[in-house]
Amino acid sequence: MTRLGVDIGARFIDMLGWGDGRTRAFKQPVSGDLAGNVLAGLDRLGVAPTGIRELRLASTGFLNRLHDAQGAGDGPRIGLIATAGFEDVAILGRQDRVALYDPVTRVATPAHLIDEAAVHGISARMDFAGRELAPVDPAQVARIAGDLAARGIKAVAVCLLHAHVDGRHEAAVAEALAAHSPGLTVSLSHRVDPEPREFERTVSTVLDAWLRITALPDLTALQGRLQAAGFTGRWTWGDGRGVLVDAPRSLVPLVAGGPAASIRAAAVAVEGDAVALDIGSRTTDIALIRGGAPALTEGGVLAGLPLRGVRADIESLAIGGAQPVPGGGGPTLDDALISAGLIPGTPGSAVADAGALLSRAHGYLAEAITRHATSRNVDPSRAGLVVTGGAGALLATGIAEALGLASVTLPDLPTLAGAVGLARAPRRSEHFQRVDAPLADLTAALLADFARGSDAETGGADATSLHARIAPRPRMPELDVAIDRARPERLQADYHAAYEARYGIAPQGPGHVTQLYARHDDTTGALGPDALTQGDTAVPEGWRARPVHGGTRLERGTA
Amino acid sequence: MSQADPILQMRLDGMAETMQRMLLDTAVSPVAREAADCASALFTAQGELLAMSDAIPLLLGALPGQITGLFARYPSATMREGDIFIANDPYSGGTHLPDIAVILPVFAEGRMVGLAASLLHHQDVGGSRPGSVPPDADDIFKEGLRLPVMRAGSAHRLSDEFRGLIRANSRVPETVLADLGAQIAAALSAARGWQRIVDDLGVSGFLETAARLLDTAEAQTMAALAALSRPESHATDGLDPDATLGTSDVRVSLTVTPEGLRADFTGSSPQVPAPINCVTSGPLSAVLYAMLTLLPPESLRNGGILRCLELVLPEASVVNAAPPAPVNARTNMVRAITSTVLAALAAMDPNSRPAANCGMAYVIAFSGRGTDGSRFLATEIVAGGAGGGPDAPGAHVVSCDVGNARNTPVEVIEADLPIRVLASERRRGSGGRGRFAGGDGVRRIYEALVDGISVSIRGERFARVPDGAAGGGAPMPAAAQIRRKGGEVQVLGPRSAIRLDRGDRLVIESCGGAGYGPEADAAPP
Repeated sequence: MTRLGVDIGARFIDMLGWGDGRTRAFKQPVSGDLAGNVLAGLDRLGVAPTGIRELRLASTGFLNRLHDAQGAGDGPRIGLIATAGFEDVAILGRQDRVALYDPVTRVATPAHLIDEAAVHGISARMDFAGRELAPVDPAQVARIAGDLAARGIKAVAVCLLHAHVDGRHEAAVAEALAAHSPGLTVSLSHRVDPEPREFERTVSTVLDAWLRITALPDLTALQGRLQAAGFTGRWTWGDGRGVLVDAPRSLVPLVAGGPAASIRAAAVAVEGDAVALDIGSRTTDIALIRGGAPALTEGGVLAGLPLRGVRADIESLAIGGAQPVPGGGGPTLDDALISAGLIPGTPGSAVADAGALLSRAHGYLAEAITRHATSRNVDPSRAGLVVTGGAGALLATGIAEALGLASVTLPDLPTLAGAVGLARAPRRSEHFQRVDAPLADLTAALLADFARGSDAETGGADATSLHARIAPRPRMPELDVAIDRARPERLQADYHAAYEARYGIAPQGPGHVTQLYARHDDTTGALGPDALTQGDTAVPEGWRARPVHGGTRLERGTA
Repeated sequence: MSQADPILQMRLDGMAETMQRMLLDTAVSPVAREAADCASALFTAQGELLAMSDAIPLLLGALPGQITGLFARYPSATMREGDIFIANDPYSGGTHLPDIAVILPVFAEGRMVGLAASLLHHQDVGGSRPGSVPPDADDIFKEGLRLPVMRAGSAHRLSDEFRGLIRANSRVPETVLADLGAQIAAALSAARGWQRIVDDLGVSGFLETAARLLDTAEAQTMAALAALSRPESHATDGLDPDATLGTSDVRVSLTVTPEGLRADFTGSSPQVPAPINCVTSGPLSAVLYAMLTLLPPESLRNGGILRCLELVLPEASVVNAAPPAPVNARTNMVRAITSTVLAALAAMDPNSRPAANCGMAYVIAFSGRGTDGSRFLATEIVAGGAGGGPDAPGAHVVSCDVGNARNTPVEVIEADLPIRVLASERRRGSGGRGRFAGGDGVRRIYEALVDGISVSIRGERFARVPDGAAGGGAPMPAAAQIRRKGGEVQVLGPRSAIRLDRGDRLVIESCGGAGYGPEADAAPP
């Protein structure tokens, strides 16, 4: 039986099969029907759907659709149900702007994903402690369901105040909507993103609902076609942290799944801190690698949206094979590579000086890398550089030269990095328990109870780590702190140590726990670091190739 | 400029940004961690601005004055590693009393290489009203504890004497001390980053490169000024007329000179015995922000820009008050100065600029005791609309120009205070009409859940609103009122100190942005 990594990009589907004694890869061009493309790719790989033990999938389609939706006036839009008086929560945002010194004030909100005429307020209300102030009025919800249907709305996000504390009202709204509009896709904020702050939770919920009617249907159809063709294996998703999950409660973590998988692949080939660059056809993603894994963030803007939730700290640039080179007057990066004789084809636009255009691209990317790294307190001249993506191998040394680096690393199969990253990623199971209590109230007995429950959920104490999310005081930013199973009573001291290590001062409060969670990473079946070979690497003049663990390092100098 | 120069600027910018994130992560008071009412910057050992965080420009522009004030009192030769300097005195470089600057000199190889500084709006520094922003103050002595720049600690620790001073003067001393701790931690993070830079470049290499960065920014600024289509422009704006105070006008003449940009505020109104005056940090912030909007995005942002600025400020005026004038409600004066400068600049800039922003923000301080008797005190900042155009409608309810404060989430307000928020909604139609309409303001309704909540409200644009641009319309003015539980409605002015009892509702409405172009040219909806 074969395991399969499938990374769906804008122009190619990268596929990697392993686990049955041989490893093979294929880049399937995308045209039309996604499921048909994947089945054709399987055919080329010589893998039958009945022979797939596990399919690991990530798609940049989530991210690309969001990029497309920015500025598009006629894309699909969803409905929103909010607490009455707060219908504008998605428009109001946090009232800050994205570019401080742009005279034109621009904001990052999900308003462009919402049909303004399909926004409704309901009279149900909870207070901050989850006490009901006004119940859900089923008749009011029924009227809203009728309005949504009349406008042809296919999906609705429901985000009510304080639903992260108590989701009963949202559940009641969903029930009433289902009764009147059984086909309506409904996303509930307390399930998608059960954390305080109504705008951030609304963004998550809107995004989840929108992706369910835009990016998900193709993938669901793919799943159906494969199953119809005999696929009975395990289906896992690559998420934005570069790990695999079975059935995510929200699609938001999958948005950065494709880029995160590429970073996971890149991380295998470097030691210490490094900058990963993945050059795709639509975008180029930059991220840091720390400790052999993608560096993570819990906020920031992606595809014009302020996204909450842990994911690889990716910055997406509007440069790629099919995109014009910034400042280059129109020709795309592919045009430049074709004109320079580096890839076959006919350029779409005439290129007068391919070398100069490529130098411009090298310089643009080098500056973006520097800005990304330095803003995160990493010196790019000291960190490694690892490059992946379709044009990555062709641009790597030029970017390194623009950065003043003496070496750059290409991981194995750099043009299929997403599929390789999926193959190498761990499968993660998690178990969460909301707490919202002073740290001092977390007794060893309570933690032991949580450990027992988690082990049953995630697969045993040996491989399951326990964690607490702790803030100095309620509603301050939290830190993740590992719970020592043998000495849970040390949690307070461990929190103090973790806080001091991060901020250099003692916690600014006694400690408040918002969540306990258990995490189990399973690497069974993952592709080993030595299972691939680099293949032929084009080595530019003045550089030499040296094999390293998991890839090839190009170094300045002659062989 | 050598290859290393922009990289060093990016590294310094990254350190300033790391300081800012530290403040947001570790500050205790909601006005800092939720509203982001704080700013961080780095300075050379000679006191020139070296790097800024992406923070509220209104605060960023205030830090250079604090550094000037510091050097006037403590020459660099007297500074020692581990020193903590603190100041909030508006009349020696500050803004208003709640904004406390924390400045740490940074040393490497036994030599001072620069300063790490931050400014954070503290919850209370005493004075006649909780929150230290009394709208009825007629001199600075009613506004709270005034701290001329002082050495407040050594070995990176605040002295017991200084802690005692805060405990004796603030209504929430532990919150203030915790937020000062966040500022010290942020500065220490910059010091660690600085050490890495010095490790790479050496002290001499760093100093030489930093000097080139400043020279480069100066040259870039001069080039941007030379590209302006007109060398001179004038504008007038100001605050709402007041029955007692009269009219508070801001007048500016901008002139491009061989040395740079002269911003002459001669003709602005004399200071008034109300807290709407501002000190020199106000016009400096406003003009620095305006100059930054002229520069291409890849330009270096440091004190080289300030070398090209000459400010001419009339003494004892609303834009350059003399002690003991009160200044706590200065925010909207700085907004008015910014609106005036941007209006003048729009006539000089060959690129089209949007119509005027709302030019106001509400700063609202709630205080009292909760149902359990514990004291609460919180401040929130509420924005208006952005100006429309030049190629799209203005953004709704957004911190514009020198502001960038975030709102406080309703879920946080209701969890922290005995207040229920009944609505937070776009005030539709409040933006000026036009081909590209101005962004709308917001309507927020708060209901008191206990008796005796003190509310200090500072707003603006209740009467005097900006004109539209290129034939666009003016926005609706701001408004505020109390709806008493018994049904009585009390209309409020732009600056009010009120009491809410259980069931009373406070309604505030912010001003929209101005419209751009004739409405007849607007695309059909």
